[in-house]
Amino acid sequence: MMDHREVFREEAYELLAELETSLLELEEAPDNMEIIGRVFRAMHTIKGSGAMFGFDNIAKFTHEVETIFDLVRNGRMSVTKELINQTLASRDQIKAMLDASSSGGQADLQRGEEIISSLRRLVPGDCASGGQEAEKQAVIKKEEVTGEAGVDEAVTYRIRFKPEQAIFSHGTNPLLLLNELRELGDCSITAQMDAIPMLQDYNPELCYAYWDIVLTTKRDMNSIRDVFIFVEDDCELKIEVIDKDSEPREETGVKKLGEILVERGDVSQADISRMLTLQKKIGELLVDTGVVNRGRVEAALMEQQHVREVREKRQSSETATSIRVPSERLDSLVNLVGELVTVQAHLTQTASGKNDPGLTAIAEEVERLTEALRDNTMSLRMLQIGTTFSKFRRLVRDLSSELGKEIEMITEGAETELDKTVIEKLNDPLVHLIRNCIDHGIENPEERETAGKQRCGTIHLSAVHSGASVLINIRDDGKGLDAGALRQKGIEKGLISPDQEMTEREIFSLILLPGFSTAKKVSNISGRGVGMDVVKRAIDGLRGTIAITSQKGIGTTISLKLPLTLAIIEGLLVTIGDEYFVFPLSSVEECVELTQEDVSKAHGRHLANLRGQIIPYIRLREQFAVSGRAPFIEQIVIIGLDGQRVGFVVDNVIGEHQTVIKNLGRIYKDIDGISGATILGDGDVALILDIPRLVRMKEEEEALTTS
Amino acid sequence: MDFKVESSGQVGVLTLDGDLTISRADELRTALMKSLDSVDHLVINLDGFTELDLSCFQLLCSAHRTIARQNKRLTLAGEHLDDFRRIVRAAGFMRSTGCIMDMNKDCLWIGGK
Repeated sequence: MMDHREVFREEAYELLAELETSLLELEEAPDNMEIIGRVFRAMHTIKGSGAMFGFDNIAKFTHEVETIFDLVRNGRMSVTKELINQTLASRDQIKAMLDASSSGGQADLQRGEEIISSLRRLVPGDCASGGQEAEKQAVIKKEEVTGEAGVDEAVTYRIRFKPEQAIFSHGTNPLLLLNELRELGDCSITAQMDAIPMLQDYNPELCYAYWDIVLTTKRDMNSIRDVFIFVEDDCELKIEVIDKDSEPREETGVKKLGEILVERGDVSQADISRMLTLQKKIGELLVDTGVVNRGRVEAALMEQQHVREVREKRQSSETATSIRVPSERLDSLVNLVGELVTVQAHLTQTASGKNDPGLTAIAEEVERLTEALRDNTMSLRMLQIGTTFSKFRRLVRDLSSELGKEIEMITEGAETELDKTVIEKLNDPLVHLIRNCIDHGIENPEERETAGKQRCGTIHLSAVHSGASVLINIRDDGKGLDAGALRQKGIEKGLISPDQEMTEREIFSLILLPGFSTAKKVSNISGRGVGMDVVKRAIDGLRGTIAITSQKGIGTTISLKLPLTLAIIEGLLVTIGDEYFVFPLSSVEECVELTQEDVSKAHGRHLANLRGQIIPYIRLREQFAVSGRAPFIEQIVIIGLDGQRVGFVVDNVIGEHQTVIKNLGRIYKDIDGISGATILGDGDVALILDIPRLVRMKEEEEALTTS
Repeated sequence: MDFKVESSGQVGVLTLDGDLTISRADELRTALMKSLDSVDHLVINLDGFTELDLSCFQLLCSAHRTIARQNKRLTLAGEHLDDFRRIVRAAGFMRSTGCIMDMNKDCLWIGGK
């Protein structure tokens, strides 16, 4: 069982991510009440559950920030860049406190206090008491719902309780009744004091005050009446329902005049905001003209606030339709499905050998179900890449301001889904690539202006599905790569020889080699020459590829191609002698025959002529030292790799195969050219080929023999 | 219950202690009326109270209105005002703005934590 505190921690990390995203969105759209609501809710939940699970310091800190954000939500404070900065800093502080709580350390409390006091400084003077007001409300509402009996849904009631003035003489204390009400649910109380006379007319025996109460409870109206049962004849009591769970919302009524004018482009949002500040609020107008006293307006405002909070709370609970499952359980499910796929293959194979129509029908049915189950299970592990993308927004924002650059990040395809493991492992490489864009790619605003570009640079991050792969592009409109300089550097470092002919693409690929950095100065962001080779290794580990295109002065695009999942792949099953091998089908382009005649024509060189194109090939029989003689007609499997085509010679091509990837044990894990294994229907093991590694090994071998 | 006027003659401090409940309401009212007649600024010190009820809030509110009309001031003092405000809040007496009679903008029901 997971510890409750652990559950809180996990949830809090999610909320913090959500908070960060919302804050960054809010910076773009400071007037968007929906985003403000999201920010507020995230903080509110962290505070609430933090207090419940004993994270008092987190609850206390978050409460302070929330109090200030409540002013924003109530339109008493506007969203500024500084507010966003400080709120982001608070988010980091909460995260630090969370981290510290799991490691048993202490977060920097000093820092927390600094953040709070800078946030407080942002509160406009006339709201200073408003902040406290919000705080008061928060405390009042903390009352727990105790009785759950009665109606199932929470209903919000408006209660006017006006005891007759002589109520004290019956020995009744109205405050005790209020306390009883509070025990029924979420309760906001405003006392009305307009009837309190001057001292000379004051009769100490009388009760002058009366109350407006808004109560959200699951109890029915009778339970509320029961509270007043002993004073029923001595008071005026009015109870009305004002909001129900089941009632359709009427919030989406007709648009306000201002909204329509803005939409038509007749006036700007700024004009509307300015006019609205000139205009007096309806409550103030009513009070000023003496139509209603301030206490009544205050009660109505309280009711509005109460209903809003109740609805928000309901909305956030309605959306929680997903359940939390530990990822180990998912992993074990995937494993089991993998086994099932293997057994199903065995069944199909056995059935086809038996020539029994009944058995074949069952085998086919099992095959159909297994496929559906497999797809379903794999989709459980799929996560949207958007969560990763939103982390980078913060990175871009912080780094660009640190470096004095103006950079905007545009993302596309955030809803693209990828296997959880792939997304996790993709995070670091993407951070490196984006840091590189910010540090080396995009120029300073001044340089950009001189070059005739916009001051603000753009990083474009996109993800899109393409067959069994996902393509991720990181494109910047910075200064681009300088092929000449790269080549020069490659020669200096002894990575290439001066007379070596290279395509632009090959030259760009140099930056993926270890120890290669063209940055003249090393910053703390990038430029140490580690990074790009780490990126390359990480992407290789994910069975992915990297391609770089760039135009000097215009920008650079780095394209990553990644498999959707690491657990099951579509493979092409082949044999060499008695051994089975699997090619990842995504990289296979075609299969052609290789006859003895073709071989003799090539005069011993491993080259095949494919419709006029010369393609080098590798004999896997030699590579893996498979004993026995090759058949007269062999097959070449043509693979597309980084824009090149390479052939692999095998004995026979069997066909497509659902490949459940199994790791080779610890002893075999470093074998070059093999990335894993799979179990076939009849129990045989097939090795999965690591194509990029095989090609590289061959190239290194060739380089040794020619030099 | 104790009433002292500072040497300036302008500010008087009325210390209210013990149970400030309906049983003492008449006594409180008399004390309030007496003390606010003699000074420009009446400070009510609440450090010594042990119990509070609705009648006391009403009285304080009434005193504040009365004194505001005479262009004088009434304020609360004490080290344990937080306890006081907690009870006031539970009774629904807290306000974000004062009533129409709150000429000096120092309504007793605004502020506090």
